[in-house]
Amino acid sequence: MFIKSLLINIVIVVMLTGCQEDLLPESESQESGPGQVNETVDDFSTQLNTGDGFVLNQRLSQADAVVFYFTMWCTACAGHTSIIKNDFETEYANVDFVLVDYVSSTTAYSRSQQQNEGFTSFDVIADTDNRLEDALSGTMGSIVVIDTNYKVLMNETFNNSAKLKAVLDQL
Amino acid sequence: MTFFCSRLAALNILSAALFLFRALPFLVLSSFISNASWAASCCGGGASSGVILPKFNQSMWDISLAHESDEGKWRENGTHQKTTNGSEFNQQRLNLNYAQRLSDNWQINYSLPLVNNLSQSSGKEHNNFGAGDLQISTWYEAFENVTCVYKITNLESLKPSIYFGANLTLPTGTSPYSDDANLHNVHGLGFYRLDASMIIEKTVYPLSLSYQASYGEHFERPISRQSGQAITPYDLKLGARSNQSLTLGYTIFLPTLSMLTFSGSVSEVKQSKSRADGVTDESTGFDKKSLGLSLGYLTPARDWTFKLNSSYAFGGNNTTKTYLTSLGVSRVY
Repeated sequence: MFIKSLLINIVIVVMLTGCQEDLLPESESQESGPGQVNETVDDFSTQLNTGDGFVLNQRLSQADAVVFYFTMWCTACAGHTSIIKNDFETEYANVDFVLVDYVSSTTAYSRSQQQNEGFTSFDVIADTDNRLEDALSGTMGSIVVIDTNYKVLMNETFNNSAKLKAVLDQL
Repeated sequence: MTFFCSRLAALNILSAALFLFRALPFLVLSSFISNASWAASCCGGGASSGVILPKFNQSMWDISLAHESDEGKWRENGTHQKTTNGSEFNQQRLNLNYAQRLSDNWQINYSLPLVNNLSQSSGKEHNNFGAGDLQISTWYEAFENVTCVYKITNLESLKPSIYFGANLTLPTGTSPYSDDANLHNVHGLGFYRLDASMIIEKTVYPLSLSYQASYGEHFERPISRQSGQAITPYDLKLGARSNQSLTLGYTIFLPTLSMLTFSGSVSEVKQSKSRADGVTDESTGFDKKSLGLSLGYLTPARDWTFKLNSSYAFGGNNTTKTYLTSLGVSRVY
């Protein structure tokens, strides 16, 4: 009776769970989009959520690098943005730090999200048509560093301040 | 297998924009609530919804419908931040639970939520439905007889019901790291987790007191995709999760011999900081404290239980503030 019950239970579990890839996650790097490390990007222009324009070559003419952080205005995003504000903005005054809002559908909504979060000192790109998201293969928590040669120095999920620091120290 | 895969895939309804990671705290809370609602039903039914088989019953199913609403979030320093005007996120869950006795002192339980994310942003409403993470639990009942008493007559009548359990969470729901994840269809956390749990309960009618605790470790896993986008791979281990809950119940016996139970609870869930490639991510980790109220009705034969629950988060750090209500029914055999 016990063995029969156990076997029935195992069959139920396998049938319910046999088709989700998270059960067997892959470790190999998968085919990735544009904007990967050591690639160069083309100059681009987009808009801030204030309605002002953002042109990459203008920013790189005034800084040693531009750091893009892709935000969804989530709890974790707020934590990352606080780290950038408190640990990097002042120490790396030669670097331009910009938030990329790739989820808001309008610039006005992006601005209200920014004000609600309190990160009003940052410029925020309202990526309403997801062009920057596509150009840099950005996703939630992505941090992308581009230097004055338009070379991508870093493009990964921001979960380690030491890595970003190491990249910026080499500028 | 193919039939089940296609059926589960068909549950995912793609729609417009949804704030992906706003779903995660809801999933955290849903997992906690399903654990915290284990009022040990040693006497049949108990104070609230339960997926613990009463002593001497052979099997049980439990279905509940929960609605959880977004009340803003707590920052890392504990300050509360309201939701942006025009933005709203709610989640509905149909929780399916089944418990089966394996022997006199052992039982195995299954829990599968079906999740529907409802959101509103920029004036548009969206919803997305899918299966969540499956949980499988085994419980050992460290007592031989029913311990509910009407009167304390000796030391034996003070003996509580004690359960020891192990719970495995399987990442069957689409997570932010799934191959087909997007902004709309996150219904799971994406990690295996193993929890050790304990329940201590004592009923001296009309009062009952229950303490529940669990500690769980997430299994480290490789991350190579996020929101469907290929990213630089890294290994991620979510922080350890701990839950505690204290519940006090009061039972009224109706003239028909059915039972009406009112209970109140205070709960806390904590999760320590995550580690990415072995390095602590300082922006992670959270805790949340909640108050709960429950009303349960148990039929005279002690086979049907109807439950109404509500839970209100009153404090926290680095997590979403939520308000949850649920309505459920269970049947024992």
